[in-house]
Amino acid sequence: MNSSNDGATWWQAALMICGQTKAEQRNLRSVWIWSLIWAASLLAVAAWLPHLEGPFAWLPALLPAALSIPVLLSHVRFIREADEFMRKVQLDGIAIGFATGSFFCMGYFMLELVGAPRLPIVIAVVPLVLGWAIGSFFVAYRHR
Amino acid sequence: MKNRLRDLRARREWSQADLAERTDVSRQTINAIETGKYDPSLPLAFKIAAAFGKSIEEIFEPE
Repeated sequence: MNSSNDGATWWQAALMICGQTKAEQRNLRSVWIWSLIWAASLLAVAAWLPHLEGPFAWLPALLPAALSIPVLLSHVRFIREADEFMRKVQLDGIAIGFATGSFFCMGYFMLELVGAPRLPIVIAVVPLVLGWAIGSFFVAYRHR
Repeated sequence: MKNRLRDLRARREWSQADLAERTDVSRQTINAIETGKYDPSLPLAFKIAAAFGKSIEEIFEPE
């Protein structure tokens, strides 16, 4: 035992795998697992859907949406059961992600009005997720 | 808010992780409190005080 600040490395901060309570570790593992399943389903369905036609295409098309429910629930559980400071860190990251996504969407809408190419709405998820990931990393790294 | 966490921890030879385990919070929380980046809630301040066997006023004081 010692009295030093045994801080995490940058990659431990990025993955949030150092210093959490047992409940946080368990809940975070659940978030990672469900997120990976959701991402895999999204990629698989996106590759498979062009080969399907008619009503049979609806079921796989709905799969990623259905799998997003456990992702959301596991994340909510992680935030609810995190200790007060970790909850603040997470909410800061989410706020940065939401702000980044919102400002990108509104900003690009203005650019579309003056002639920028029209992008599909699904593109909005990219700055949202990237903003959330980068925001969470910087906040977690700052307090590592 | 100023606090004597680092000093009290050092006297007992506890790491941040040790104190975190005793108060059921993450080590980052203890680090943030020690460095003055975060002021704990009243329930957490009571837990920290109990871990050291002291009153809240003996550990935390307003700046």
